[in-house]
Amino acid sequence: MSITDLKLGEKAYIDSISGDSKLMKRLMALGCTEGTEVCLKNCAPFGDPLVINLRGCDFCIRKKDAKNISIKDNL
Amino acid sequence: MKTAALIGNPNVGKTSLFNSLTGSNQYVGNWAGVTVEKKEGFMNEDLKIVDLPGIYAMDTFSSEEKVAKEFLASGEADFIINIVDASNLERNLYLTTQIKEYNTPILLVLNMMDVAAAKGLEIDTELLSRKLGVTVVTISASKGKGLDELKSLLDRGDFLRVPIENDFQFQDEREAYDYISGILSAAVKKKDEHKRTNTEKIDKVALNKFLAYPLFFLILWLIFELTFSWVGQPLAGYLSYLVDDVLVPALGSLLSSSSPWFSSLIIDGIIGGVGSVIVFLPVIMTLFLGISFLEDCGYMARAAFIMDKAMRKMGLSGKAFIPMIVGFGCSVPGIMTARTLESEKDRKLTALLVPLMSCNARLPVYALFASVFFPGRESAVVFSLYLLGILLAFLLGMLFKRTIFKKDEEPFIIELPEYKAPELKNLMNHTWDKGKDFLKKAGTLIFSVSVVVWLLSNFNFGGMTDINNSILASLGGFVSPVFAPLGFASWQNAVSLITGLMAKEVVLGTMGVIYGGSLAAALQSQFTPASAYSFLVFVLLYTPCVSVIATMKKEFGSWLAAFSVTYQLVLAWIVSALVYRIALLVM
Amino acid sequence: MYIEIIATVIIFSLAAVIFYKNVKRKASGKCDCSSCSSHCPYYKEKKEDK
Repeated sequence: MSITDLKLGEKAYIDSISGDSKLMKRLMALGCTEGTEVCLKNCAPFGDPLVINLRGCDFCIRKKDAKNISIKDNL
Repeated sequence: MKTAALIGNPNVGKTSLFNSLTGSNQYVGNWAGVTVEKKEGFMNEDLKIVDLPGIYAMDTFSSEEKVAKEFLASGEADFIINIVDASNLERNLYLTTQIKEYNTPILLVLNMMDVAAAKGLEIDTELLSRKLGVTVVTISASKGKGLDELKSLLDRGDFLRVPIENDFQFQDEREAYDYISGILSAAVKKKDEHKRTNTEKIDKVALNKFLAYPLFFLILWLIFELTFSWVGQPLAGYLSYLVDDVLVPALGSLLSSSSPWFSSLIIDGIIGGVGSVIVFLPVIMTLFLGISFLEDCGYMARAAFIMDKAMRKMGLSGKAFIPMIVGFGCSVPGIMTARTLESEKDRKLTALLVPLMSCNARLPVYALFASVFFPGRESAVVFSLYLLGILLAFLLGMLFKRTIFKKDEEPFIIELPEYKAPELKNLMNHTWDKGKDFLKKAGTLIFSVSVVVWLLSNFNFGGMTDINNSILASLGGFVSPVFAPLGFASWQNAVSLITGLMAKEVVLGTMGVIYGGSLAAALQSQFTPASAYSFLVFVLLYTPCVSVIATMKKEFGSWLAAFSVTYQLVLAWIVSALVYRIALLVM
Repeated sequence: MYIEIIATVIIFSLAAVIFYKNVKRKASGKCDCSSCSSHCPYYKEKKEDK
C-alpha cells in the first residue's frame, strides 16, 4: 500500500520509500522515515500533485513519486 | 572581527533576520562556480554575517547544500546562527543535528514564537539547550520581538564562553529523527488539540479539486479588471487628458513666439515622447500592486502547486512557475529567479520561455492600442495577449523538451508555507517604489530616445526637412517591407519597433514623436483593428529589450542569448502574420 | 533666440549622456528594470543603492 491509496485526511505510518535516489534522500531529510506518521492532506485537480503532511509541515509531491512511499496499516 | 554563518530551513524568516541584523550593510554576489546567491553583511564593525542558502539538510546533493558544507568546513565561521521555525521544530532540528558535526558553537534562534503560541505550543528552551548542546534564543522577527536581545547577545558574544558540548553521530535519518522526537516530547508541550488553522481553512477552497483552477483564473481576471477597467485605465485616461488638452496647449501659447523648430523639439519631441508613456503610470502600478499582494500572502506557492501538472507538459516543474510570474513584471528578474531551479537545463529552458510572459513595459503599448481599437473590451484584449504568450510558452516548451532539452525530470517537493496577510505598508512602499522607477525611466531613457528620434525624424543630410524625407524615414523604409504580410508595414512602425530594443515603452514614445499630435487619431489612420492586433502580437513576442539579452548572456552565455533573440524574432513574425490573416477573416 | 540655442544644447547633451549611460548599463547586464520583486537576487542590492 502506498500513500496514494489513502483517502484525503487519512493518516498512516511510513513503511519504506523507494524510487529515485535523490528524491529518497530529500524525503528522508525531511523526516520521511520508517514509522513516521504521514497524512494525505489534499490533492490538485486531476489528482496530481498531492499535498502530504510530514512532521507538522505540508509538502507537495508528484503522484508518481508518492507511489514509491509505502505505508503500514493506517491507525 | 568575528564571522557568523547564518543557516536554516527555507521559509523560516532567515532573510528577514539577516536584513534586521545587517540593515543596508549587505552585499549580494555569487558563490564561485555555482549560480547560488551569496549574501554577506555586517551587523557592526566587529561582526560579519554570511547568509547561507536555505536548506533542509547537508547531504541531499543540491548546489545550495554544497555551498553551505564547504563554507562550514572552511572554518571561516567563528560561530553559527541556526534559525529555526519554533512551530515546526521537528524537521528544523534535523539540520541542527547535521551542523553539529562542524564543531562550531551554535546559537539556536527560535523564530516565529508567535505562530508556535497560536498553535498552542509551550517550549522549554532550557531543556532544549541542554539536550542539544546549543545556546537558545527566542524571537518573533515579523513582530519585531526579541531582536534587540538577540543583537545585544551577539554584541556581547558571551554565549560563546559557555562550554556546551554534545556530539551526535547518527547512522541515518531515522536515528536522528528518533533522537529529535525524544528531546521534543520532553521539551515541547502542546496545550490545545489540533486546531484548524486559517491556512487549512483557506486551502480547503484554494486547493479544492473543483474550485482550484476556476479560483486561480478568477483571481487573475480580478487583477486584470482592476488594472484596465476599474482603476488603472481610467486614471491613465485622465492623465492623458491633462497632457493632451491642458499641458500641450499651455506650452503652445508659451512658446508661440519662439522658433518653430524649438517649439517642435519641446512639444512634438519631448512631450510627445515622454507624455505618451508617462500617462500609463496608474496602469503599471495597479497591476504591480495586485501581483505583489498575491506573492506576499503566500498564494503563489499554491499556484505553483496547481500549475505543476501543466508545467510538466512544458518540460518544467511547478517550481518554474515563480520565475514566470516574476517575468510578467520584467524578464530580467524573471531570468535571474530561474536560479532557484535545480538543474542547469531547467534554468536554461525557463530563461528561454520567460520573455514570452508579457512584461510590464509592453503594457502601455497594449493599453493605448486597445483603448483606440477595442474600446470597452480593453481588458479582454490585453488578457488575450497574455494568454497567447502563455500558450506559446507551452507549445515551445513541449517542442524544446523533445528536441534540445531532453532530460529526466527533477525531484519535485515544495513546501506550502502558511498564508499570511501582506503588510500593507510594505506593499504600498513597493508599489510606490515601482512607480518612481517607472517615472525615472520615463524621465531619462525615454526622454533621451525621444530627443534622438525627433532629431532623426526632422533632419536628413541636407538639413531640416519634412518628416517623410528624414533619415529615420529612410531607415524605416528600408526595413518596413518585412512587415507587409503582418499588415502594418510603414517606416514609422518599423522604426518604433526597432527603438523598442531599448525598452518596450519606447515603442510608444517613438510613435508619440513621429506621429505627432494626437497619437490616438494618428493610429486610427495607420492601423485597422486587424493590423492593430497583429501589431500587438508582434510587440508581445519579438526580441525583448537589450537588458534582457545582456542578462541572458551573463547568466547562460552568448549562444543561448543569440538563440533567444533569433527564435523570438522568427516566432513573432510567423505568429503575427498568422494572426493577421485570421483577423482579416474575422473582423 | 539665444535662450533657445542654449536650452537646445542642454537638452541634447543631457539626452546624449543619459543614452550613453543607459546603453552601458544594459550591455553589462546589470539590473535595469523598473520592477523589483522580492524573488530577484538583485532586490536587496537595488534597495541599498537608492
